[in-house]
Amino acid sequence: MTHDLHTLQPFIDGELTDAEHAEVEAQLARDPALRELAEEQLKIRQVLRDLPKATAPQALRARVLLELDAIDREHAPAPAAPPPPRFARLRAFLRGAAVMVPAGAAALALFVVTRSLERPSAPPAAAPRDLAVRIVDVPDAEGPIRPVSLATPTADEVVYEVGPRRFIDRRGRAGAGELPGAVQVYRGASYHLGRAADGRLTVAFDVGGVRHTLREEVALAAPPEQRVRSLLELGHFVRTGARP
Amino acid sequence: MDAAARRAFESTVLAQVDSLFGMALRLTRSRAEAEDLVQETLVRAYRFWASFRPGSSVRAWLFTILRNTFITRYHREGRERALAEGLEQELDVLEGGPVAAPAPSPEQALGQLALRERIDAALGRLQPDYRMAVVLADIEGLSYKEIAEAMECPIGTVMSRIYRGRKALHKLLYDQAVEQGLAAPRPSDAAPEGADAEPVSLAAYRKRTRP
Repeated sequence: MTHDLHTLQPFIDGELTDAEHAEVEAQLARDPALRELAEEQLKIRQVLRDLPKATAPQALRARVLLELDAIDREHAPAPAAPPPPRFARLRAFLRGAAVMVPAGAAALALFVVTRSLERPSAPPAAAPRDLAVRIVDVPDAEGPIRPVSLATPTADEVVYEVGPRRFIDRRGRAGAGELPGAVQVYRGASYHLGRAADGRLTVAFDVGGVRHTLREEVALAAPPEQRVRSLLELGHFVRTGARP
Repeated sequence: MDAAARRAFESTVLAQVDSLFGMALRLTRSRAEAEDLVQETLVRAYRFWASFRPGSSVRAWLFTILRNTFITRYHREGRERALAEGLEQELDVLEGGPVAAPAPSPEQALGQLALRERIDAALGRLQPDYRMAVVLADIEGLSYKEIAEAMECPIGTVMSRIYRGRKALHKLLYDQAVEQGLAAPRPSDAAPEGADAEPVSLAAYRKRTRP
């Protein structure tokens, strides 16, 4: 005889009607081999049900709430005033202990850029805030990672530097016209890919009422897709590390 | 997202963090990776919260996102495959093998094992789809319908994965018991006739012609 496993499985998992359940029970009573099979499945089911439940760490909950805050800021309305000039921003950026969070975000962005430039096939980076702490605490063999004050073309630009590489973040007011270029979704957010007048790749996005346009200071000798990915990584961490 | 939607999300979704973390732990087998997976899942859920249909199963919806995120992040690396394929081959051989003497009861040995660690280890050896189906059914208590939604497959496939997952788990645990001298080795997993057939859909069963 061929056993009717079509009914056995839902019988075990309580998915049968009362009548169907009784029918299978009768079948099991007549068929020891089928009963053995059912007992095997029931036993494993019970063993698994008796396992203690996992509890997520509180730190994870806190990280998630911070991420949600960051997403909310992405959709916040544009501020009434334009963003502060570069030097005020940099002063705040470099001021004492309060500076650690944005500095961590910047360091993280640069770290990721560096890593992705050198190892494009590396798996995605871990959670931003975890990495930020780690990177700030650990000296970087590549050299200093910092935002630097250079003779940038306008007052609304921030330059990120790592080793010999520099990336420029031009900041303006969000919503000032449509973002140019093709839309690319990256890590759940939209970025606009384009080229500057001189042909260098750009990645633009709005967050927290500020429009960011990232570009390499000097075109890197790397395949275009790798360079775009580097800019997207930088954009992701500028976006998630942005503070109002 | 406005404040009301944020509150709704937190009260509805964040209540499921423990369940998501438990599943993520079993998928990744690493606390750090599980935390990252849950965080990414919840961020995605928040971004797409408007697409959630009120009245549908939020757990199924969240596990769908978790599974897809896991596949994107980890599954492609193929590191789950080697172990799972080996186990599948073992099972196939056993299920297709000759029927020998009546098998001793594995349950007698199961009861003597320090189960928790062994079960977690055994679960870790299952193919991810089997593992997820079994965990959703037996640990999280989801219905077939919810599991089918979470795993984006028909109910018949859900039943099949649960059946095969439990069977593989049983074999792994029994083999451990044998290794520890708690159970006698058996010449084969003598399954009853027809046991290698997989369950099909419940709807098909209900529409069947009764003998």
